[in-house]
Amino acid sequence: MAGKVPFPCRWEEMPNPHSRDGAGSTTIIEVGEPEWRKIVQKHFANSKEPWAAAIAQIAMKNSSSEDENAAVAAALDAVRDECVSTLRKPLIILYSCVGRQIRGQGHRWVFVLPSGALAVVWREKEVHRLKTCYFTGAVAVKPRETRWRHALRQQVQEYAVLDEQSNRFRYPRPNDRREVNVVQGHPRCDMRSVFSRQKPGASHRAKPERNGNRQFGIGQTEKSASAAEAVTSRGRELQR
Amino acid sequence: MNPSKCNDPLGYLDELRESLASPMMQLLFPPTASSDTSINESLAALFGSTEGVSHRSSAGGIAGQFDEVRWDMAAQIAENFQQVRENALSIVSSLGFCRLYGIALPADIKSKLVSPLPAELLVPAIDVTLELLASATNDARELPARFDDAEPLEDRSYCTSLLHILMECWAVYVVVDEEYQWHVCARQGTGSRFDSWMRRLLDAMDALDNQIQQDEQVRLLSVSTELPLLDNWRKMLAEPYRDPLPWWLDGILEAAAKEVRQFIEADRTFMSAATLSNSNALAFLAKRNDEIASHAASVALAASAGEITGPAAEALLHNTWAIVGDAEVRVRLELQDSQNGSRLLVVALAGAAERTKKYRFVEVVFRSAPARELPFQLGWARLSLDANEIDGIASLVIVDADDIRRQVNLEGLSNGT
Repeated sequence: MAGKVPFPCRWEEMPNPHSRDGAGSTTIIEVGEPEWRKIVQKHFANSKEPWAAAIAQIAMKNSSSEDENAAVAAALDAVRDECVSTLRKPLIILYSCVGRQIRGQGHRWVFVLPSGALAVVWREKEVHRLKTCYFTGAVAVKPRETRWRHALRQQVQEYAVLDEQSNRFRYPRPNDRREVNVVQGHPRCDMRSVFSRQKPGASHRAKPERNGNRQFGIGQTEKSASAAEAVTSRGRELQR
Repeated sequence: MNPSKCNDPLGYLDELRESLASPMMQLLFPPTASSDTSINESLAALFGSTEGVSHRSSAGGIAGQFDEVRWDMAAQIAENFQQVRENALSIVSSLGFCRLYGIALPADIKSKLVSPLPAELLVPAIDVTLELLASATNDARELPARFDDAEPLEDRSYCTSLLHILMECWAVYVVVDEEYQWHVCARQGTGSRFDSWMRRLLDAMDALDNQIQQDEQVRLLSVSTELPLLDNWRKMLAEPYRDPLPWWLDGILEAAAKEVRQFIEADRTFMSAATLSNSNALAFLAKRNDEIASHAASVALAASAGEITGPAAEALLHNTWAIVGDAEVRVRLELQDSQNGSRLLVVALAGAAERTKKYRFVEVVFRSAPARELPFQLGWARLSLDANEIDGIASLVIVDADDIRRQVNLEGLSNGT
């Protein structure tokens, strides 16, 4: 019998993309009830967002409470699995506020989940919290098999920088930081992408696995030069 | 062509190749034959002969009538085969991006995608694009509300998503327009099924443009200027698509962002972002400033309807901005109840803050939860602000007019410490 799902739900042993020493390092992500409620009401229940049946089911109101608890647990597991998959082969944009910050506030992660959804995680007072999880309209309309590719492609275009000489995307450099405010003294925002540190150079081809063996990817060939290559190069530099 | 433009950093050729290899598209584009040959073979199987009805020579007469029939059949296919629709859009949009970005097509792909493209490809692609445009138009209409209700980063995603859709529709249009030009020349006139599809496509693009170019929407879309996105697109574009640029790349968004900044600077307004990205605050501020007054009425209503459950709710400082002017400080807090997720927007106002450091609570603006679901009465929030009873609220950063940064605990709001 399914009991009530306790919130905040803690996902222990999540792979830590910040890990500098490779395998083994883990982190915890918490899901608070308000955030979860909002995700369910705003996103899972949104017919425009193509959530898998197991996840969308919890937005249905006609189930008994026991069924609902089981559905919540299943949906949490499903989202957790997606996050784990992303963190194992990180497809993350790490978005840090540079400069003055409110005490306890830290970086934010944007996960590109295998389903093509984006998950936003904030670090607050040493804890990572799942804040939201959603499909953008531009990705939601794509075929299921290609959503991950489209989501990643969009994130790359948004955050990486195109080098005109090579016509390749590269990792943003410090002088690429964009002053998102013009008011003096205002915090600036910086972005860092974290791809696989465990297997530098492999992240471009390291596609998130889904349903066992199925893989989707932005680049199907060695020749395909995506931003990930540039990002991975940067990852190697960082490792050195 | 610029040789440096010959590679494909975003994998459009891979997508093109995959879509062409899908079972349904293999019928249109078999691996070993040109599309013309394959279609003629298919038509021959259906009608016995294809003499004079090649889709490369559809200039009136029987051929023209046959062409119209094919467009009708293609519409039926578009209606009934989701897989065809998806693959068709993928092919046409990828091909369009290759055109826009000057990506050279390899010979194996180029030999298949020769004008005129078959109606069985174009019609489903246009049909899906029409759906996409309709959905995007709706999203653009709802953008202000969705932006307000979204978490930081999520809100910006809603804006950039619309821009991605604009780019994709442009890519589709480039290909469809090429084909249309070919079609008009070949037929030496208009009045065909293609005309009607083209009109529908243009109307739908106009509808989206009209909605998305509203002042408020443009102001919100201007948050994209803090990303490399627009610059990346401008750099990727090949001739002849670099000049003139479409409206979202021609500087209108940068101008909107500048306008917002000027507005804020004129007010000597400074914002601190606790968890709010600056652009969000900019757009939010520009959009919301006038609305705050109008919310006062709903505040009064909410206050009268609220039921006190005590300060059991954990209030969190969620989004914060502060406006510091010559004579006043206005602080926006968002409090969130961890039990039921409802929120309060609190706006506090202080006079001559720099001198007195006294903050006067002014109003509570009810934001997202219906009045009956408020976790605590507004009076409690007011009281708590005064009595330092709100726990779990992070410190509030206020940037004063001289850019001297100070951290003020929320407790300081009422007791002047």
